[in-house]
This record gives sequence, structure tokens and C-alpha cells, in this order.
Amino acid sequence: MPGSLRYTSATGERITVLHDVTFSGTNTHSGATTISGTTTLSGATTVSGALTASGAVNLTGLAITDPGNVTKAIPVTKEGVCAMTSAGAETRTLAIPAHIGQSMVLVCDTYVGDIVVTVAAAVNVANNNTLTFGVVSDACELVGVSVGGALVWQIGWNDGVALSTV
Amino acid sequence: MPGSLRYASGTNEVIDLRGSGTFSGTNTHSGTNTLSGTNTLSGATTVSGALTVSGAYNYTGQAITDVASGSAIPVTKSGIVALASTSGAETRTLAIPSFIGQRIKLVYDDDSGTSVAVTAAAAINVANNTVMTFNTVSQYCDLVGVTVGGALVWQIGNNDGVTLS
Repeated sequence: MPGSLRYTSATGERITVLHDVTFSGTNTHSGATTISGTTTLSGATTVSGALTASGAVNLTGLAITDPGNVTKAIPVTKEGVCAMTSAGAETRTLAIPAHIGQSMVLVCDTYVGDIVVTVAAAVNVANNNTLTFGVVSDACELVGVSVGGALVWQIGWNDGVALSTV
Repeated sequence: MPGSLRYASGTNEVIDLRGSGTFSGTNTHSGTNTLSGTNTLSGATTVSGALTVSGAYNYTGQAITDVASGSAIPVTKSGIVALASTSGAETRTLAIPSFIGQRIKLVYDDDSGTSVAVTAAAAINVANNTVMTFNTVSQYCDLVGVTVGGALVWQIGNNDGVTLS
């Protein structure tokens, strides 16, 4: 059938590929999938079933581009590391996390002036919602949790970031 | 051609595998991928695109084998190193991370010696510390790969009892 390759298996039937495989289109694997060779997933990948990875797994797409002082909103569409750069006194905003367990590491990569990050909700018991990065290498990690049934960021470790409530 | 199956698709073409699949060669998935069954990745896996896992995720390959005194802890993957000293004051080195977001967790598993001092290739915090010294079993810290001044370095996160210098 032009434009499509489809193989619908019968019950108990398996698809076994012993040699190298390249999938460059849109791929759907709806059966049990075992990948035992060296694997590179470079497209957007959604795993809705259980995933067990017993080999080394390197997630190399964790960099989150600093939005800068114009766009301001740090993307929360994925977890990762946002290395922020300031050219003077600047601000950023951080919306609620996209999902429970999401991790967001914020670090001051280049400092000229303070970077003040205002979070959409409190990040700790003290109800702080403002993170101020006042020196290069200030860093902290936030984790998506549920408080009162609502998704919020919880601050985990904190190296030098000043917390306040505004 | 023996050992090769190639299907050159047209625009918007979809490959839909409905049965159980076993891929034991080198696999490259560069399109949009959906894995909706039970999935097992037992080889080395690199995910450079966005990855969303909505099912249970178990990463069971996180163990990084400890190295001998004076040797370098591997930084080729994220994982956990159970440091074990066997005699006296020992040392390890830790090179710069391989990529942003990489995680390495260090735990002092065995204090048969007296201590293990791990020297990182660059400062790991605002205080510019580079050495982490473990001298009591169960001391723990985790490190994450970040950029500072545009250069990849380790940033220390949680720290339970590890002496920094």
C-alpha cells in the first residue's frame, strides 16, 4: 500500500529484527517492545506503557534555553537544566510544573545583575515564591509535587539562591 | 539483501508495528516515536529528543562501579557510585560531566579504610569547593551537570554529611 507499511500480527506473533533498524518516520509500537541493541531516539518519543531500561541511558536533551529578560517565562514543557545569563538586573517567571516528578534545575551561568525568578506558587513551607540569583553559580533544583491537590514546585537543594515572598 | 530491511517511506508515512517487537541490532529512531506496550531497553540508549514517559519508568542500569584509589570515576552515564575504601585514606577523581543534566550520586558504602576524597575537575558550588571527603558510612551527595560561564561543570545538590573543601 503506497505511503504506508503496516504489519498486523496474530495473537502471540512477534516481530523480530536481528539487524540494524532505522525508523525515520512516525513510529508506533503498540505491542511489547524489547530493544536490546544500542538505541538512539532522536525524535520526540512518548512511552505510555511501562518502560524498563537496564542499560546505560543518557538523556542528552535536558538543556532548557534561557528565555532572557524579554520573553521571561522559563519553559516548563519538559524537565531539565536552565542556565540563566543576565546583562543587568533581570526577571524571569516560572509557571506551575507540567507533571508530578518533573525536575527543573536553575543555575546562574553568567552574572551581571540579579536574576529574580517569580514562581506561580509557593516553593516551600515558608511560602516563598521568589528566587533571586545574586552571584554566578547560584543554583537550585525544583521538583513538581502536589500540595493541596494542586501541582506546584517544591524546592529541593539550594546553593546560594535567596528565597523571599513577594 | 541479507541482513538488511529497508523501506523508504514517503511524506507523512507511518510505520505501525502492532505485534510484539524485538530489536536486537543497532536502532535509530529519528521520527516521532510512540511506545505504548511494555517496553524494555536493555542496550545503551541515548535519547536526544524530548522523551515523555507516562507509564512506570524503571532505570535499573544506574550502578556505576567504584574505581580503585587514585582512579577516575566514569562519567559516561548518569548513575550511582557506591564508594568503598579498603585501606587508609583513598582518593578518586571526577572529570567534567558529559552533558547538561547528567546526574551522578555518590554514597559512602564501605569504610574499611579511613576516608575517600573525591576531587572534581572544577568547582562544584558557589564556594568554589572542588573536593568531597567521605569518612562515615552512608554519607551522600548528588551532582548535576550544568553550565557556569558557558562551561560544563558539576553542581552539588543534596549533601548529607560530605565534607567540602
